[in-house]
Amino acid sequence: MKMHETKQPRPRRVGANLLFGIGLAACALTLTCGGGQQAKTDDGRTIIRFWQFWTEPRVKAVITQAVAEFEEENSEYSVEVTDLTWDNGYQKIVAAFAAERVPDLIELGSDWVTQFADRGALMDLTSEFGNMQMMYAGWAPAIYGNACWALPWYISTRVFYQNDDIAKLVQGGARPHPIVWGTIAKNAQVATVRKPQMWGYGVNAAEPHRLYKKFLPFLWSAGGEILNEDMSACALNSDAGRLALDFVAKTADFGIIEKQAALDELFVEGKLLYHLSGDWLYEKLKRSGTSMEYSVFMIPFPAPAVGGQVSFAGGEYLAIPRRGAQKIAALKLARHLLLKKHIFNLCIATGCATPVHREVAQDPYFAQDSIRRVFIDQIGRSKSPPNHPRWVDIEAALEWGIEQALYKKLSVDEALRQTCERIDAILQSERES
Amino acid sequence: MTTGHPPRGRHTATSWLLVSPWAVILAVFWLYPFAYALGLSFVSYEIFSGSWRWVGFANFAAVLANVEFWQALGHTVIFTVGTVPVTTTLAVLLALALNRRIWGRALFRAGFFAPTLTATVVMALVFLHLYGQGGYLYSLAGWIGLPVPEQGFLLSEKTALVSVMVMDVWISVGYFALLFLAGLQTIPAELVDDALIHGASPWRRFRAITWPYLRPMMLYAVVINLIKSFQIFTEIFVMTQGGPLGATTTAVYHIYVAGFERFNLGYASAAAFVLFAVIAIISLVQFRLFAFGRGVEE
Repeated sequence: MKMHETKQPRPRRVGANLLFGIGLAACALTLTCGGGQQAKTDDGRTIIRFWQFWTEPRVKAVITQAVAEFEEENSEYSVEVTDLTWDNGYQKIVAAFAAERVPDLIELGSDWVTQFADRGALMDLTSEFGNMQMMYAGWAPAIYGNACWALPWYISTRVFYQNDDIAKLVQGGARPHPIVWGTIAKNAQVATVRKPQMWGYGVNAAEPHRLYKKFLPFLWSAGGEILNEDMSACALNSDAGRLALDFVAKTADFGIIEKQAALDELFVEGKLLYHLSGDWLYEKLKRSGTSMEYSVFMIPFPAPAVGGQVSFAGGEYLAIPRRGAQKIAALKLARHLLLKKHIFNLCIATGCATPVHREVAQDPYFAQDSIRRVFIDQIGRSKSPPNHPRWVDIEAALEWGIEQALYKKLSVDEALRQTCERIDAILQSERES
Repeated sequence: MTTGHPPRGRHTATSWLLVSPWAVILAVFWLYPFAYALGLSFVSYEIFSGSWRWVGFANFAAVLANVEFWQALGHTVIFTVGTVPVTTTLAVLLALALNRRIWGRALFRAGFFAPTLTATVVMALVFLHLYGQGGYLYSLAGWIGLPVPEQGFLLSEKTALVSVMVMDVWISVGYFALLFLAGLQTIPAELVDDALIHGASPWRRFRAITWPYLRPMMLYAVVINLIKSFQIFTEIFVMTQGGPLGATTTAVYHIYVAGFERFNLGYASAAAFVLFAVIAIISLVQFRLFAFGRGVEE
């Protein structure tokens, strides 16, 4: 049978076939997965790539409308909006920088601006700062090394929410806001006796990137700092640090430990007396249609005539990657997004209480709302974490220490000491690098 | 004379051609990342600039000297030791039960397999609520008098990891039961009938007939489950993010944080290869153990 006598294929032939197949598949992969970023649309308009985090339909509609308006006014541009999520957006952004496939305009969390600026990843926007600083608030996180690297788009702070119904119950019919930390502790203890029907205080734990925001207002109000002035050493291990961490650790004794979303939910359900939270909770309360009586107040003083009422300030910033293909167009789009009317619409949609545009903040919608007014007053006395390029690592060390004290694994003194050791090691490694 | 078959040479070439897309995918999505990660483990890599510096075995030394890595590996071992035997035992028992002619067998099979078909993220989110204060499982545990942590199962360092383990067993058991069921159905009925005629006890029948037929599947199931357990990530990411107090930080989550939150890619790659070595050694030991046992009835 001749068929069985057919010669074995020569290796070169097999190899050639394999190579051909691999080449074919590689081409298909390249066509589907790879390829460069298209610079223009089919009708010749320049594409601006904009990455942002607002995905909730109500807010996304505002962004879409603002972008559509920009395209209408600037017919030479087409904006390609990519939605990011807070779960992995940071990783996606860094990966884009690593792969040199950066967008033209990008929304960055306030904590990230310094890190990106320090690595030379952002375009210097100092000239914009000169033009815009009087009209916009929240510049601190955008400034690093005597230059401005991003434009504030959305800013927020934290205030105390009080369930007035429970407050009346624990204070014998009265419902004044606590002026000092001690009153919070005393009232919260009384309320927590009735758990699980009600709790005195909401304590965050086991939730990275959130816990430190609940500690810093107490640290700053007590006059403490995380780093010293030239950011060369940890300054946490101080009397103020001790006072703040001691109070936060004690809150676990008269409060409920939960994640932020669960605590917000508990407050809406009327089960929490005091809760340190942001303006999103006000929006949530309004939308819930709750009949509960509630109010907000600024961070109390550590003790009578001691310290201040300092809260945490954070936000979202618009930055332009240095290696972006359309820097001028991106700046134009950023300016458009920061127009008064778009900031107003963004604030209405997100429920933000502290518009970044100063004229919007004076609008009766914000200024005549008693709760939003507290937020506006509080943000005037708020601070952002230090603009250090290794803040993400410092934040993790700080949260480690807070958790150790909250769960009583370490004494407050020991938690402060070990946290400072960790932070100093981070600062040292940054200097060495 | 023609037989209708292509010549062998063309046949082989066609086979290669058909295999090549898989080869490309293997090369692009497995071999290349594997080699790249291996390279990364020997350098200090600056992700923003793409610059790197050769550091030799420094990353491996850093991994081995890092207490947090060993703690994470310890949690992973606890997770594996606590889930693999339980899952395997329950799956075998479930398979034996489902292999009988019982009413609603198809329904039970589908029901037990359903958690496997559901995305882990979805299951994790469901359990996140079940375990929380006021959640169904939390309330149920309190109601039947079990000691429940005040802050919910996932926010107590004593119960967080165990809670994730319980969920993992619940999700996995149906899948492995199905594998064992397939193994059970390869047992010739005559063999079982013969044993029954000769009056073999249930335990004797299991040991002499069922177990030898199940063993290849057992090896597969245990090795796969062990590797899966050592790579536990999604549940941790969604439910606890390694907390509280790092009590649920597993090896892969530790690697994730080092690589994708701190961007210490050299360290993360080195840690991944250390974990790879641990899994490889344990898998080899398992192969040896099962191979050793095979000679007994052969």
